[in-house]
Amino acid sequence: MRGQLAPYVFLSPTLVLVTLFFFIPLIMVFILSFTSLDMTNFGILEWWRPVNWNLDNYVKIFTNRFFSRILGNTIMYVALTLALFNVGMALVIALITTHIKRRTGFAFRVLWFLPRITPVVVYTMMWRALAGPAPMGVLNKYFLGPLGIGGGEYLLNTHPWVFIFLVNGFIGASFGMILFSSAIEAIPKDYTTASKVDGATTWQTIRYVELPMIKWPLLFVTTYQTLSLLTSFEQIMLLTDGGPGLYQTEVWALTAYHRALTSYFGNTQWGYGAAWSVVLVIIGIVMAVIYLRVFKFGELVEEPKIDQL
Amino acid sequence: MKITLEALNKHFGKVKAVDDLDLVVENGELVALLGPSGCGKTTTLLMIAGIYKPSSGRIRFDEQVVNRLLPKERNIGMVFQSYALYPHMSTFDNITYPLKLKKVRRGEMKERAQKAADMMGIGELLDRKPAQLSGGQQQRVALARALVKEPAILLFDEPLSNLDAKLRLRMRGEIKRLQEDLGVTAVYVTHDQVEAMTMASRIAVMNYGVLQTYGAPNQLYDHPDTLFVAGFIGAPPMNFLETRFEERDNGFYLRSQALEIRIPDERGVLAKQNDAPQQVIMGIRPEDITIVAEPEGDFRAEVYLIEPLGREDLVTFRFGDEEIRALAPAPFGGRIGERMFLKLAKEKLHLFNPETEVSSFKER
Ligand SMILES: Nc1ncnc2c1ncn2[C@@H]1O[C@H](COP(=O)(O)OP(=O)(O)O)[C@@H](O)[C@H]1O
Ligand SMILES: [Mg+2]
Repeated sequence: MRGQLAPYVFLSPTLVLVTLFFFIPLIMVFILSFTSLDMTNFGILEWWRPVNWNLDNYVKIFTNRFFSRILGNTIMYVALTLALFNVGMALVIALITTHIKRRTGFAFRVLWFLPRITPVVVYTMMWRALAGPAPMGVLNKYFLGPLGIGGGEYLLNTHPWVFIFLVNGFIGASFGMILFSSAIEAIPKDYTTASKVDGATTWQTIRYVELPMIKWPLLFVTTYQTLSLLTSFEQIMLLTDGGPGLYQTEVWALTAYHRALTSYFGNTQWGYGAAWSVVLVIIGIVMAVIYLRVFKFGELVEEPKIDQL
Repeated sequence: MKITLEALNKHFGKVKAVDDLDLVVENGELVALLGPSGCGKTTTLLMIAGIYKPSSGRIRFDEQVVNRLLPKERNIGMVFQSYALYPHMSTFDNITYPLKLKKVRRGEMKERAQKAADMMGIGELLDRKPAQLSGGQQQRVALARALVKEPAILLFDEPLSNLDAKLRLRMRGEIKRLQEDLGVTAVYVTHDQVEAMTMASRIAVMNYGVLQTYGAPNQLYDHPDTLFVAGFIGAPPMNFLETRFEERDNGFYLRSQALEIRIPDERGVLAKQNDAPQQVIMGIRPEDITIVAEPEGDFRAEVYLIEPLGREDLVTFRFGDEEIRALAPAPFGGRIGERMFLKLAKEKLHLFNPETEVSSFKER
């Protein structure tokens, strides 16, 4: 009896926390997305009663005038940040730092990882300062000005997307970098030795031996970063808040936030915002399933065929 | 292809993994690199393969110095203890990997892979992944991969250590036969002296990165140059006893508290020429000791332990504070505690200088 109870006693703090702050909000968001709950009818609308549930919010999303721009922005933001930085640059850094002297590589990775321990607000504000207009902005004053590039305007107004990619990418790449480089270092030396003796160049060894062997970290980082980029909005909010043009850098997660939690149109539309989030979650799940298919998850669980010694 | 190593060194920080190694492997010869774990065998092999750059010294293939050649420019096939088969590739892709890198035509690639696979008896396993093969099969695939590019040199790094005893014996024979049939120069690293004795035409014994001796298996067995070689080669190992070396009455004697042996004159003269000190280490192999009736015996000893080996019994005797092991034809008649007379084959005795650990019978 006691033995059976003990595990639950130990698990209970976590279970309570996860239930309170994850499962209940999840279900509430799902229900809210079918209601028109907002600041004006709060306390009046009985949102928990199914009679008040309908699909109006979802219709509103898909008929929104800016729907295609927001969707396009989101796809571009996720795909390019992922390809160029969070997976692409992460892999390049991991490969370079594991093919040079061990200590040098390690030191470089530590340096690259450091910004992660800066609070995201501070880090983003530093980028805003970098991008500032001519007399103050570091980039304008010390690099672009002397080189005669541009007219010293506020760079976040002229090139908002470039900064969104850089701000997310430079931090984002360090996650994949750490995972990839430890996976590469875990490859037994015999494989790379064998490959070189078999006649491969370093690049061919990477291409034919090392990359296939880190397929699972690659899949994991791609999936994980896709999902976290889909749902991340804080850097964009701090950098451009969706601007400077109308919905110019507005992504899906930021829209959900804007609708639900800021009084952009005079009221905070909790139900409508919840609907944006729910669609985002569904997109995320679909993406994860697609990745598993593309990377052929089934191959990992093939039947053994050993029959004799 | 003849391999010549000249004053070859490899240092890892303070560790001298290979220390001033000189070695010649003749064309078509199989040479074994033998030594305990950590003595620099793998490092030597990887320098020949071009994976490690020597700290100093030269490596020649025939007359050409190859120090600067990349591994891919050396035309070498290598087999590892871990097999090192690429786990994501099928047997076919593993075997054809060296050919793919050489951009061999698809048709020829198939032909050569099939030929190499058939030679190793794994022709039916070409579509399997390494995880679907047994250890023995994996080792055959690894051999096929090493052979498929028709290398000028084959390198083996303890290839049989992960196989069970029976399979090891069989693969040992197959590898030797294969190497002889192909006439390819081979360097075979092992810490198993039986493997080295049976397979190699010459054995290079290493210890702490230093070459101890280099010669034919029988030469090393019958006339070991150093104490280390004498103790390392041969199973069960050679017996060592501390004795005094004395010359008197026109004869040469080895003497300790429990025994006194007269050694053949020409051996004594040789030892004297080699400046054998008064205190020497005498060595005798277990098979060179016989149990005899009293009159011919050299000394008396008590049976302490009997270990049946099948064809023979290994008997440990004690006399004074000393212990000595002898091989007796099975079944051994004696009982534990019984006192018996032992006779040493005088012409098979070895003598070592305890300071230099060099044989005092070494011909100069
Ligand atoms: N890459 C390396 N870095 C540092 N030390 C090494 C390296 N490779 C081998 N060594 C050291 O060199 C010595 C010889 O190693 P090795 O050639 O692998 O021995 P063996 O193959 O005979 O067991 C050992 O002391 C080992 O620790
Ligand atoms: Mg080794």
